[in-house]
Amino acid sequence: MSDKITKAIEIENLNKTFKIDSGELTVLKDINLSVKDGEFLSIVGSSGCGKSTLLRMIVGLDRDYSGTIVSYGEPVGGSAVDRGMIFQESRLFPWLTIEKNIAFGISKKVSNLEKKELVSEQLELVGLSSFAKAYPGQLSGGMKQRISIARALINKPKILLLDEPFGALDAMTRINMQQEILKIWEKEKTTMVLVTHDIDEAVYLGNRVVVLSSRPGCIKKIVPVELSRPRDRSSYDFTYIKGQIYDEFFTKVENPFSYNI
Amino acid sequence: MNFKAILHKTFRVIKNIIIALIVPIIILIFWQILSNKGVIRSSVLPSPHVIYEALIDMIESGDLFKNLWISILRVLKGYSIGAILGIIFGVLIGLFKGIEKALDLIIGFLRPIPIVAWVPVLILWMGIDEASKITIIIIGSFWPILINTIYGIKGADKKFLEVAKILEKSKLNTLVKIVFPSALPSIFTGLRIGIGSAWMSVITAEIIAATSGIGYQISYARELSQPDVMLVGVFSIGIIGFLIDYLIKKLQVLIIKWDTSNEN
Repeated sequence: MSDKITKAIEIENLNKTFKIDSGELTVLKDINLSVKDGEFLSIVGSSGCGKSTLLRMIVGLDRDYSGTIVSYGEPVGGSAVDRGMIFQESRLFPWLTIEKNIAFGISKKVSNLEKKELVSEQLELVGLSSFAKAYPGQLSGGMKQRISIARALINKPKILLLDEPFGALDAMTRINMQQEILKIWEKEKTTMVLVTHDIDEAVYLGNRVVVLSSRPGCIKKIVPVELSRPRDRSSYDFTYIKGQIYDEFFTKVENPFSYNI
Repeated sequence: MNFKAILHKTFRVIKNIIIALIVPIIILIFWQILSNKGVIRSSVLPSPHVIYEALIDMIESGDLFKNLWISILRVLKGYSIGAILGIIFGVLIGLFKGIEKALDLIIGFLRPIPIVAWVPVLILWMGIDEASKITIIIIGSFWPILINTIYGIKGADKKFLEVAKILEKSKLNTLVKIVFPSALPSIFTGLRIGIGSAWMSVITAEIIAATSGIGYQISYARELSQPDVMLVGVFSIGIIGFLIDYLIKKLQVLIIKWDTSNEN
């Protein structure tokens, strides 16, 4: 088995430009990145740095780029069911009930009975079995996002791409969801790639944190997070790593006070 | 508690009905008073009382319901064909760029033609019988349904389409599960405008040339100088139109359960 096949994602010399009125705008420049099978990788960057574009290219929605993206030894050409994606908005279909929304995720042909089993299994995984017959409009933001995760996981994708999935949720729900996604990751062993602007979230979840600079977006630094799980957000090591990433984005403020003893 | 809630709701409904009736009743009272005093001439505008008596007469003779029924039947036939055609063409044009480009010019040219202009043409082609009237209704209801269906199909949320793409759904599956349902509210808007337009078209056709129907009754009453009969006809058109719109609105709420903006 060659090394490449065990790599969930292998990105080489990726460049992406957008055409605008005044010429071309480089969004992503010289991206080289590999994601190990079963890894949880976080990508942080300020808004407009092209981090969402990067995910869209990995999933296969955006194919207008130069360079190569290889997933499990296969070049990415268009979307495929073994790469699932979660967006900032839950993107549930308002006209389908929760169970039908999740069932929509099933891509292979299965019997009705099997479908039912798969759906109820997913509902249990995200802890919303009692909402099977409800419509998305009747659910809270956090619940909707859970259903969206269930829909993406029903095909048992090898890779789950998360594009600021908890960005629209309140702080409490966000922390709950972070724990939830970790539980799912540990249980399903899915490779996760998370894009976020929340440094705390990136460090809490990721095995590694990729720091993207903006305009053009290129990889500034990859910070390994070698902390045991469950992680304590208030521990010294956690705060230290957070501080390291924080410094990549903001200049340190010198202590303006002088002390006289 | 539950009983109280039901009682409360009933009270609210009754209150709303009373509020809605206040203005029409005031108008009727003034109208009657002015007619009694001779301010409004009865040969121009008969009093509500006279119109009411004409209504009773027409109900008793069966003329009113017979003519109304004929008109409604025409509308049902023409409207259902117009709606089916409008939705089919709307979906095709909304989905395929080629079809849109091919039909763009002809739609742009035919759509602004007022329905009245078609009446003499169709009578010449099809005679004065049912066929020409139903065709008028088809044309009248077709346009608003077509335009709103195209708008709805094209307006399908790109974000939803991306989800289908990631899940490798077939084109047909995407159409049935995503594009069509997301176009439904807009299609219903078209259906509501379309039924109004169909109802107007049948009256237009009947007033110009017909031997039956509520439009014919109005124009016949004009020839006989019976303003009370005319007005009964005119008002009953309004009432039927109102009822049809109400029914379609109810149907919309029933079918588009997820659209909470429509619940009242």
